[in-house]
Amino acid sequence: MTTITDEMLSAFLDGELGASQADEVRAALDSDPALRARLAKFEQADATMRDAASNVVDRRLPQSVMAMLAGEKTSVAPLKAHRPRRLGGSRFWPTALAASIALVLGLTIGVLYQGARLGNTVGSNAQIAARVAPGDPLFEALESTPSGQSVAFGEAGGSIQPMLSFASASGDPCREFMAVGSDDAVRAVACRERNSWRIDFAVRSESAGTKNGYQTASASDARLVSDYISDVMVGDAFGRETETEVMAEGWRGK
Amino acid sequence: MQGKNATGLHAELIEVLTPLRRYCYSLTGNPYDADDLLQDTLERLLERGAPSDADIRKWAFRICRNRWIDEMRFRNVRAAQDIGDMPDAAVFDGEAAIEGHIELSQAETAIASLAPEFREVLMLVAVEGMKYKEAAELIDIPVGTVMSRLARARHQLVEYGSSDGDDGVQGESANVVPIKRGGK
Repeated sequence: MTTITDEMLSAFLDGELGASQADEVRAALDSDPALRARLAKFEQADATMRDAASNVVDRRLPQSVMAMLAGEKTSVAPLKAHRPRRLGGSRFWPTALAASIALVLGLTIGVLYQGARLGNTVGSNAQIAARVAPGDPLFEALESTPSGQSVAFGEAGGSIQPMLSFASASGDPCREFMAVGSDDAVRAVACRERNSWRIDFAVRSESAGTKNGYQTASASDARLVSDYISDVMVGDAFGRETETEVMAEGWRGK
Repeated sequence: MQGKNATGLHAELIEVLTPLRRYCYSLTGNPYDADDLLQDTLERLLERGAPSDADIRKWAFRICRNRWIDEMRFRNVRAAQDIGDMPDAAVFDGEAAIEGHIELSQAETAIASLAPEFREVLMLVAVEGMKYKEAAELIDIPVGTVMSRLARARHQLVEYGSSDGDDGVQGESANVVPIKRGGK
């Protein structure tokens, strides 16, 4: 007697076997009760998947998705106002990525300079791209602090922590970093140009008023930064060794 | 490449919303991350549009898949760089399930035990009714791999069911190697 493998039986169930193999399976099913039981189990497995799938789609869609599909316009507003708070769905997403980016373009080099005084500085005289030159504490921090380590920044207990280094599509080495102040934090991506670090993307999170509030408030903001990096990153992020090497070479693009 | 106009794209997306949501779930294995991925995918689609001749389901599934791969890569990088103490690195996965007070059904719990690549093919074929060839094209793997993944997905679900001990299956379960949870 031919042995009917799981693969054959499974493909039989899906109608994906050629005629002769299908006949073979049929004949085996006729004569082998254990195989029939196996087929029934496979059908049950499919039913389990269908049940799970229908449980999932029976749940209410997150408000943010419904809003998107309804074509609701979102206005530019602070991230905080956009952040859905357990409205029956995800809490991790601001409703409009574009709106959030529009907001963060308001960052100026001054915001980053001031470190500990990050709050309330998103001014109306916004400049778009900030460049950080040698001699600036932020430049030094980006230039020589390994990812995962943090250096003091500003006067009131602020810090800069590079988090990740990677190569961008343009060939420049880039770093994600977080600048933490007393009542808010900026997550940003800086890319190394010939003589400066250029801030390409930044999201400011206000703290919720507690000392560590920015941490809990920043999950969706962190996602924005992750998304941005996914878009511009080529290959994987640098491992420690690569980062150390690139750092030692003064961040020359490869 | 002529793109679909915004209204047309919108309407088509609404039509494929449910399959897309199911597909997201098959990748993530839990409904919370699935809806995050769904939103992410829709955002990307609305932002970038789709070619006017695109089969919107295929197009949306492919974008969804790429977004998921990016997400996984990003999580892995973060984990590998040992910055797990950053709260945002951990918060995406699981926390919502714990806080959410929505219980998973038995079926969902069983499905969560499968590796993502098994869930994915089972969803595409057994629920969405795709032919092996279509699924293979979407995932970019050989048809033979689709076939073997499906067999393994079904096998594992059968074993999962029989190791519960609640359906009276006798015999074989003693020889079963425990299924790894959460995929590889």
